[in-house]
Amino acid sequence: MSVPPTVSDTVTLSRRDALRALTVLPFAAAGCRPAPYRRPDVSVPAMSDVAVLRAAGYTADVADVVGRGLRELHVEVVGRRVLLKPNLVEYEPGTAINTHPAVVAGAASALLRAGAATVVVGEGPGHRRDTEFLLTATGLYDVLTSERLRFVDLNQDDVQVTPLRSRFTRLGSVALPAEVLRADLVVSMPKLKTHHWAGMTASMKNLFGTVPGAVYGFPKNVLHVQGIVPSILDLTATIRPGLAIVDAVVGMEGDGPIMGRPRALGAIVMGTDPVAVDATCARLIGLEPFRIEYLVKASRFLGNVSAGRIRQVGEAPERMAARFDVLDHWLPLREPLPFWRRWMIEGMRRG
Amino acid sequence: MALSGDIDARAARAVLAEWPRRDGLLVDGDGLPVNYAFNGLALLAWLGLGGPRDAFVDRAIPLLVAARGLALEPSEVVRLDSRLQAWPWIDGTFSWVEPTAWCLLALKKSARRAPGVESRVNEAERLLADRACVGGGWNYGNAVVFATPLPAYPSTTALALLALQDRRDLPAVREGLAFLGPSARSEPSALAAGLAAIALDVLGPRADDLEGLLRQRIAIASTLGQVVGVAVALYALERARHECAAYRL
Repeated sequence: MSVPPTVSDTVTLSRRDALRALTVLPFAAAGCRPAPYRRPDVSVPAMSDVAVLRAAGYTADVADVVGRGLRELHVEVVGRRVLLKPNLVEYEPGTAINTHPAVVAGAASALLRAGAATVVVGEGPGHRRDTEFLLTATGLYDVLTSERLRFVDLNQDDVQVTPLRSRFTRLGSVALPAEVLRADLVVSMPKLKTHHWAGMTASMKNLFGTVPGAVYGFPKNVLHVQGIVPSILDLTATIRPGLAIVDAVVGMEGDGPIMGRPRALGAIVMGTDPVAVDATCARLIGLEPFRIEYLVKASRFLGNVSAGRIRQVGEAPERMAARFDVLDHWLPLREPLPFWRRWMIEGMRRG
Repeated sequence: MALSGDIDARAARAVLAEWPRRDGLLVDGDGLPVNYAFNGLALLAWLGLGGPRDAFVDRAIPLLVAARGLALEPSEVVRLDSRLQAWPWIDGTFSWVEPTAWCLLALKKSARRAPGVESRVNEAERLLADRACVGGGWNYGNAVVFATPLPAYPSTTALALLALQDRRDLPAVREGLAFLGPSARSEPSALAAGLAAIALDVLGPRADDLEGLLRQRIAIASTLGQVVGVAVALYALERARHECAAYRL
């Protein structure tokens, strides 16, 4: 004899159904929406190599460390015009806000030794727009002078309007400095920091400094109005830095990217896939990369986040990892991702 | 302004007039947005060159008066009145100290009696007072974020003080001056030293001891291509001659 469902049964079933639908719907909807990029313009490598290299302090031979990374990653630089893009934001004595000058000098030296035709340093600071002050106060001006490196203020360079390769923002195009477009190899050289708006900042967020403040305002206001995550994705897809060298010798934890505390990691992280580099950086500081929105989205079309698709060279990351403090609203970034969510995210990855 | 004593003012105006314009404002290039801070600076430069009032001035003033930064809902993250609207760097974005100060100074100098100017001036002054840092002075426009006070900068402090030079009754102006005096002498920057020298010349007390720093920073800023910093510092070095007339109300 069949028993008609009771009201209670009906309600229970509906809730379950609704919960199931709520779980699946966003993914189904995302799968049905046209992707904000054209497949021919983007691709995810089958595997990405990321080097985690030990550098105990800024007195270490950084050129040697970076040179080893270039060799292990098989980065070809002979005859190429290289633009180093460090992260210069603000200066306060005793803090760890900016890419250390020793890392910039070491990278320049290693790239020139490896056969680069030219190495230029370029940055368009967004927060403290007085570039002369930042260069002098951080000590980078002394390095530029002693190493005879040319510096270009990307906030003031000539620009060329360039179509975006993805459409996460509504900008359609971006005005890029001539020096960025002229380079054969753009090297993103961030300081590894927690970030109070984005969770973490490394080689992808660092690209905010490539767009000119003269056009986008200070601190790159247009990008903030468009959204930090969409802007990170569009800039990374369009500029496509060919190499990332992350200053994680001393990073920043807590209220980064400016007001946080220095935290020593003793590492330089390098790779040709900026998404994989940033995912490795997240793991190094105790964050789950699949909980960082821009990395989740980037994993679908730009680069690798899954640990199974990142081949680590150099030091084992787990031996150098440290659990960085984060602001309360980013504490969920420390939580491991349930298997089913990881499975669904990776299922959306475009090959 | 830095070259106004050495070159033909008509030639300087001709350079400014060659810039592409959209709706009467100056822009860096076709298809690029208007930068209001640069337009405020250009207006100030134009006025500083003297001579006949150019059509640019008459076209720019109502457009600057009409331009407004975004008003945002109040946020617990930052300590500022996000509903106040002055000038943004770029259309469609939030108001910040530097564009507000350039536009405010330019409007005060050129068009105090033009329609709509008085209310814009009042709101911009309130915005600058609201954005002053804890302990005096201004940075780019955020005094407190996530309950942490942020430091002031000499360059933006000098600029805000110049825009508020006729409002010495405001506590923010007195506190800004107290911050600027010592900080200007330790800031390694042609832009900061130049603006500080000009602001202290206009609001007092004069800072004649900045000469050495100005000359040192001009040499360094030149090698770094910092055109605005070099120009401001060169202008500051000549302040005994022109008495900072371009910045003085």
